[in-house]
Amino acid sequence: MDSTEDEQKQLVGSEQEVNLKDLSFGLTMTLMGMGVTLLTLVLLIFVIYIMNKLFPFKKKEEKKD
Amino acid sequence: MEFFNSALSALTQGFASLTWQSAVMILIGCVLLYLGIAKKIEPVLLLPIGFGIVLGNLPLAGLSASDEGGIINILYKSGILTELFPCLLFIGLGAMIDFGPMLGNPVVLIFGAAGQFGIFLTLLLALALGFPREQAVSIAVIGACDGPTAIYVTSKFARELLPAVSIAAYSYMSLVPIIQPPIMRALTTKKERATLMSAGEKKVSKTVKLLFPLVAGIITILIAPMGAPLMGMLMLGNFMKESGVIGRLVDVSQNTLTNLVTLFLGLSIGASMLGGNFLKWETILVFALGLLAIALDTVTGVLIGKLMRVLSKGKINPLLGAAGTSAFPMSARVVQKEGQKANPRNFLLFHAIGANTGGQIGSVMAAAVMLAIMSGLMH
Repeated sequence: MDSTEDEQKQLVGSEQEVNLKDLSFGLTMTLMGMGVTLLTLVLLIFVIYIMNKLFPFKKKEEKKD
Repeated sequence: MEFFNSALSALTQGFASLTWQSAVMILIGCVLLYLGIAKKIEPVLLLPIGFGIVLGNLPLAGLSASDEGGIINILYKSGILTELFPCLLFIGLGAMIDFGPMLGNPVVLIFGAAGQFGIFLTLLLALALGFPREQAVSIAVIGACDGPTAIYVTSKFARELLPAVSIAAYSYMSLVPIIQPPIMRALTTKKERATLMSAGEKKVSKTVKLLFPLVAGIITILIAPMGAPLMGMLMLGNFMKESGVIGRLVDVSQNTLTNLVTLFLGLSIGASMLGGNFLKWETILVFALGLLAIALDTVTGVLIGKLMRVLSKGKINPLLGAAGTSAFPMSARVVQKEGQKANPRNFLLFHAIGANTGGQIGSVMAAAVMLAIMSGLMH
């Protein structure tokens, strides 16, 4: 009887552990995923600003078009 | 008589082997054909998928994706399992995209990130519902609103979900005009939606247009190398277009390559949707979670849009946030329509197209980060 109860406790314990691991995986993925995506796009915004400063649009190009 | 009997049994073998699951799938295939032809919902994709379902579920035909050595099995193995088809589609997509509006107003790239929140919120929900990590990531990526990206990620981690994920991703993309407007209206006031933005296109030099795909490709691939096949092909297609010297290749990428790969992709995906592995509760859950992911993308996009409106002292229309998904150009059109409903003088299309192309980059980045983290965990 005792051993069955122990086994059940162990099972519940391991299930909770799996849930916690999944939760920490999900949160890590969310924080890292959104963080890196946002930072990359912010970096690209800066790069675009710099490129626009270095190579501004000239009216000549419009005439060519 | 014996010959007659054996001939008769050979001729009726197909009917005798037809299971109820196959019959239901054939019916689903026909419904997709109807939606594609009569309702014009993504016909380019739904037609080959629908026909693929019909062919794949006909018993003894050897045309399902799992029939070893069959013609569709060869396409499936060489194009889907190797992730070749989504990458080829990205060349075509890159050749079609004009990053000009985004380069003229780069701030809209922020919306490209905001439009990816739904992916991660859905991931948490899928995990809470008990889906294994690999499947949860694949389901969540439907929220990228980007068929090829969803197929790419799913074929890496959860091939068993490939049919459901790809159908969900493509059909929700076409349903964006129905999914997004109620959310946009619920989260904004009429005054906010009526916010006027300058209609004029800010011109960008040809050099910037040419350099962007090269520079952005290098930066993003260095940050998340796992997304290199998708990002690399997207930027290659755009670089070819902006170079202006290989019109023939650009034309092939935009038309022949994209059309051919879409046909093969649709047929292979359709033929992999077999009754036994598709008619499950799990499939319905995948569709429900995918819908939620796109709705959450819109919610977070619009909320970030509201924040941007406050920060810019009323210069940015919050509806632009909804265009941060990569459903291109559907989301941008929806934003334009809703903006004009609130204020007929409003012309948001140019800015929305910029946010929408930002969403393309954002979705590939988000997928690349997910791939990197998953691969890190697997090794």
